[in-house]
Amino acid sequence: MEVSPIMHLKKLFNILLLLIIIISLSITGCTKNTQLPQGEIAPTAKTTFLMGTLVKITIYDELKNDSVFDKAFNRIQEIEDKMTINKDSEISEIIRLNKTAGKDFTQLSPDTFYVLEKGKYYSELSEGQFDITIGPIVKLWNIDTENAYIPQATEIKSKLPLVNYKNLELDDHRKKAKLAESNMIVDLGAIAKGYAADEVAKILTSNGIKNAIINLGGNILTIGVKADGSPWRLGLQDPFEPRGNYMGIVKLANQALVSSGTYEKYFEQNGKRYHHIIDPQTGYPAENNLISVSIITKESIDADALSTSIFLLGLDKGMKIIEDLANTEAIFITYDKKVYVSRGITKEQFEITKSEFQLQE
Amino acid sequence: MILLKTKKGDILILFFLLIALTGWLLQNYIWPDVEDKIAIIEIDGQVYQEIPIDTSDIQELIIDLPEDNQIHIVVEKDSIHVEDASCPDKVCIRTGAISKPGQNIVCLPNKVVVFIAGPGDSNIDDLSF
Repeated sequence: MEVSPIMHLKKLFNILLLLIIIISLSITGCTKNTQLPQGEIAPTAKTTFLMGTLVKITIYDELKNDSVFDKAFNRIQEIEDKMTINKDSEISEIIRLNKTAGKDFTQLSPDTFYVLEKGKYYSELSEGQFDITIGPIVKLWNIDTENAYIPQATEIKSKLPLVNYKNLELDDHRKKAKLAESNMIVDLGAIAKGYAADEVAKILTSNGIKNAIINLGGNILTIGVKADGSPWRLGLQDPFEPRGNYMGIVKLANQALVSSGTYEKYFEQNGKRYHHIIDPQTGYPAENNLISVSIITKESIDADALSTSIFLLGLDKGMKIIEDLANTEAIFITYDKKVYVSRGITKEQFEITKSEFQLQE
Repeated sequence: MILLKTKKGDILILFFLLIALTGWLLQNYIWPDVEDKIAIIEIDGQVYQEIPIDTSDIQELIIDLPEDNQIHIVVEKDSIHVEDASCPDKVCIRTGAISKPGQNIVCLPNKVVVFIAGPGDSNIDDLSF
C-alpha cells in the first residue's frame, strides 16, 4: 500500500513524458511542412487578362522588384495587338493581311511572320486537318460569343472552299504574306498563345530567372526545374470535371504542356454539344472518340499548334505523327476514360491519380 | 491486485490522453483553419471583395460590371459559386462551386476571378487545362 502509489506516480510520469515527446515531435514534424526548406524562396505570382485569357506568371527566384512581370505582360500585349482578329485593332497585322486577301502582299513583323510560318507548317504536317485559314468557318460558329448557334449547312458549304492553307503565300525573304483569294481569313487562335509563352520565357531567362511557370489560359511553359532540382508537377485537367480537378500529374523540366479538348468551350443546342475545335474538312466540330489531347514539347508554340492538329487527326493518325517528331510526346483521353500515351512518356513522367482513367498499353 | 488496478488506471489515463492528443492533432492539422476560409473576388486584377465562407448563412452578391454586365455570386455550405453572369460563354457557371484553397472560378469576358485564399494543392505546381 505504501509502495504502489509511488510506482503509480512514476509510471504516470513516464507516460506523460512519452506523450510530451510525441506531441513535440508531431508539432515540429508538421511545422516543417508549412515552412519552406532552407534556401528556398517563396514564389511570386502575378496574373492579368491578355489574349482573351487569364495569364499567370509564377517566379520562384528571388526578385528585387516586379519589373520583369511588366516586361513580360507588355510583350504579350504587343503580340496580341499584332495578331488579334477579334478587336478593331489598327495595328493588327493579321487584320491587315485578311483585309487585303486576294489583292496585295502585306508587310509583316518578324513575330507575325514566324507564327504564320509555323501555322502553315502544322497545316502541311496534318495535311489540312489543322488549317491556319479556318477563319471564315470560325466566324460562322461564333462559339465564344452570345450569338453561338448552328450555322446553316449552306453557309458552311459556301465558306469551306475559302479554307485552304496552300493559298497562304509566304515571302520569306521580304517577310511578306498574301492570301490568294478574297474573303480568306487567317486565325492564329490555335497558335499565338504558344508563341507568346515562348517570348515570355525569353524575357524571364534574359532577366536572370531560372525557375518559373508561365500559364496562358491553361497552356503551361516551365522554365528550369523546382528549387530542389526535381521536375515541376503539373496537374492535368480531368475533362469530365469542373476546372481545377485533375486526373493525373505530368512532370516537366524546361518543357511546354498544352491541352486541347471539347470540354470547356462549347454550346448546347437540341441536347447536342457543339465544341470549338472545328474540322476544316467538314466545317463542323470534330467528331471522334477523343475528349482531350495534351502535348509536351520544348517550345510552347509547337505544343499549342500540335494539340489542335493532333486532336483533329484523331488517335491513330495523331499518334503516328507524334512518334515521328523529336522531343514531342502526347497524352490522349477518350470519352470512355481510356488514356493513350506516346512511347516517350514513362510511368515516372506521367502518373494517373484517378483510378477510373485506364492507361492503355 | 493493487498493482493490477494501478496498471488499469494507467491504461485508462493513457487512453484518455491519446484521445485528447488525437483530437488536438485533428483540430490543428487534419481540419486546419476551417473557420478562416476566405474567398477573394478580383475584377480586372483588383481585389473587389474578401468574403469569409465559413458561415452557414447563404450570402448572395450581385456585382455590377462595366458595360451593363452583371455577375451573381452565391456563398453557401463552405463553398462559393457563380449563379449567373452576363457573359457569352458561361464557363464561370459551369465551373461549379469551389471550396479548397487554390481553386478558382474565372469569367474571362467580364475579367472576374474568384478564388479561395491560401496555399493550394501542394501536390501540384500548376494546372494544365
